[in-house]
Amino acid sequence: MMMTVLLIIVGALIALFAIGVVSFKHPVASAVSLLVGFLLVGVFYLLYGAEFVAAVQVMVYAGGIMVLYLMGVLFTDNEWIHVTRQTHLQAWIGLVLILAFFAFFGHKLFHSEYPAIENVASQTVVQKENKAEEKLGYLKRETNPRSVSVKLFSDYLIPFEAASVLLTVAVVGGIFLAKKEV
Amino acid sequence: MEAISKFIRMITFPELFKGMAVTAKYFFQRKVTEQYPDQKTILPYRTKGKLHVDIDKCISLCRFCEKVCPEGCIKVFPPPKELAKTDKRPVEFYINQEHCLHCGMCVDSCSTGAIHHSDEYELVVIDFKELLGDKETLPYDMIKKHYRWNYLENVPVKIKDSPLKEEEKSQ
Amino acid sequence: MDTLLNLWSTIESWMLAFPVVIYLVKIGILLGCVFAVVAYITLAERRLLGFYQSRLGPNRVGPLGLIQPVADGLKCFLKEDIVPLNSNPLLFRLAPVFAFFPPFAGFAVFTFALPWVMPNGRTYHYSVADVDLGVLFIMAISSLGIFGLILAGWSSGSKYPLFGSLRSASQMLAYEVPLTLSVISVVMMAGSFRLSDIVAAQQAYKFYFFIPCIIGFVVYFISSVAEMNRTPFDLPEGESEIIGFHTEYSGMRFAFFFVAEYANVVFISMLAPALFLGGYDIPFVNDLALYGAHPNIVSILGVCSYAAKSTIFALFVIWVRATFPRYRYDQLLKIGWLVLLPIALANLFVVAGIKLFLLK
Repeated sequence: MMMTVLLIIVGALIALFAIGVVSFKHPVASAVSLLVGFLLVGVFYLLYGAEFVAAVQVMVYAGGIMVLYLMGVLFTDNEWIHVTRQTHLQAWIGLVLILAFFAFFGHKLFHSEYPAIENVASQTVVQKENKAEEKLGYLKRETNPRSVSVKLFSDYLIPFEAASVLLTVAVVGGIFLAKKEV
Repeated sequence: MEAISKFIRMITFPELFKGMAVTAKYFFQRKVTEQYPDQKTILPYRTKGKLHVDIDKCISLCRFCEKVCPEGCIKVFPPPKELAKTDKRPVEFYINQEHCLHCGMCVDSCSTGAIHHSDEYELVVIDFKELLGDKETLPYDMIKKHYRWNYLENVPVKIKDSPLKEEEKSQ
Repeated sequence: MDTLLNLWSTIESWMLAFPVVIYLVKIGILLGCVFAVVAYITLAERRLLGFYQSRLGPNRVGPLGLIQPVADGLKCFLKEDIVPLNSNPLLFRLAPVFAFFPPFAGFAVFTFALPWVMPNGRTYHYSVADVDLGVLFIMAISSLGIFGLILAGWSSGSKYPLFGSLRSASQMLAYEVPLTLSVISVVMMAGSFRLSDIVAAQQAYKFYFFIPCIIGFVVYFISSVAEMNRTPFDLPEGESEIIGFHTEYSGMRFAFFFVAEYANVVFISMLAPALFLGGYDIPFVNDLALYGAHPNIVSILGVCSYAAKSTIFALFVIWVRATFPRYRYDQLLKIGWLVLLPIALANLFVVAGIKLFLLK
């Protein structure tokens, strides 16, 4: 009960700040509300027990990406914000599309059965242990990061590696673009 | 070989530790800070501090110091003529120490050496009238010239190796 | 003694009825200690910097200047609090909070010693929340500290603080990566993110992790000095020469930034012993409990050893500050991205090799 109330509150706050991102006039204000939104998404993950994902969410999105956003906003000229219209005529079409999107996902959410979350603890890893590690009890305990990493390096290895290839491509592309002489 | 030593220098950065050794040396050295109200500097003999007048030496009729003072902060009142034949000491002598520049021109021009600097440098007062020296306050307290006041124990302490000592002996 | 124990058991039963109370008490004690240490590390730094420069430092307020932090705090309280006309008032007021909370929140996951055993057998841990994700939590929280600087610079409505905040943002971005990578090498050695597990691993291996991760330790030290915004990397603040991000702040709001900076120093110099120097393990005495010592004695000695290690680390940081001049901005970024980052990456491979092949 407590959990549901918390989830509803946090979800409402996330929605509020997400609306703030698109409706604030000043880019820094919307960036700050995006930051708070990211932090609240981290809280959301925490409430669901996905601690590792929550920490990574805060570290990568709030601590890394938002800083780059804010730096980008600081570098830009903010004069035009007073003359630019915030809404367009296409907003009505957008609203219809958004409603359709939410209807679709709501339908999917309430009318589908999800597989029960597997007990990751059952997957014990065969690990080479050295002498000192035999004394360490915690290596046998199932923790959130350990189960995530086991999943990541066994069942989801190929998507994981594909993502790393994608990141490498992005890094190489960035260096290529930033180079003075090609 | 040179490359290896360069590499070793690069990964161990000895220069940084050399700098840290220097600061560590200073850490254990004697500190030069002077804790002012408790400890006072011994100023050199020729310090141009507060002016003092030896009223008994002053011949007052010359008024050289009054004329030469760039700030006009000295005022001498010589005695009346009939008295001046026997006693040339001033009737009144004013120095406004607030305006004094400590330039020393009055000291240079004084023919009898009556006006002279002292090593008093604490000229901070609450009421600026305290800085107006008259015949009563200007005469030089010899104890202040030859002795330093130890403010902690409230006793005068004799200044060591002051050049004044030699003068005392010769006199 | 018996009456005391009885009193304690009644208090304990009350606390067990409301488990939140235990946490609140622990948080209160922890924050009180941290604030005291932060207050006195400012004094320690000022006095020690004085010693390094052949002067005495502040020693007039109270014996040895021990009441100086109180005087500083009072001064900051009583000063006028100015909000510039051109600023963004909300963000201007919010920025010190953003800068202030990360180092203090990070202390929650520390473990300061082995648990304390009461006479009735109940154990109390020297930690508020020793979570599984300790190190990751610390990294996530400390990555939020940048926002205080950026928002402070931007919301001041003046261009020089803005430049200062841009400098500091790029510096902190550049040095956070090698810092995290050097910490990850320790996590790899221990096999856990939990700080008490890392200390337990160092006790089990019978050596401290700065031996296999010596490169990582050096990288950690350099990049943590940069993260703390201290000389030789104090470009964001530049206390005397450069205009930093908190130029427009005065009074209590400036004190927030100031306290946050020193809390960061305390935080980093308490994290380093846990990761690299064995934490509350007592050096050269591997397991005191084996010699028949009472667990409470072991835990008290552990607290002392932890405090000694982190004090030595903090003193070293002050020594570094007393010695080195400031880096130029391009040199600073070059060191961060082109030197420390590759070294930290190489360190990861070295540590992985050590763990795989040398420790059998």
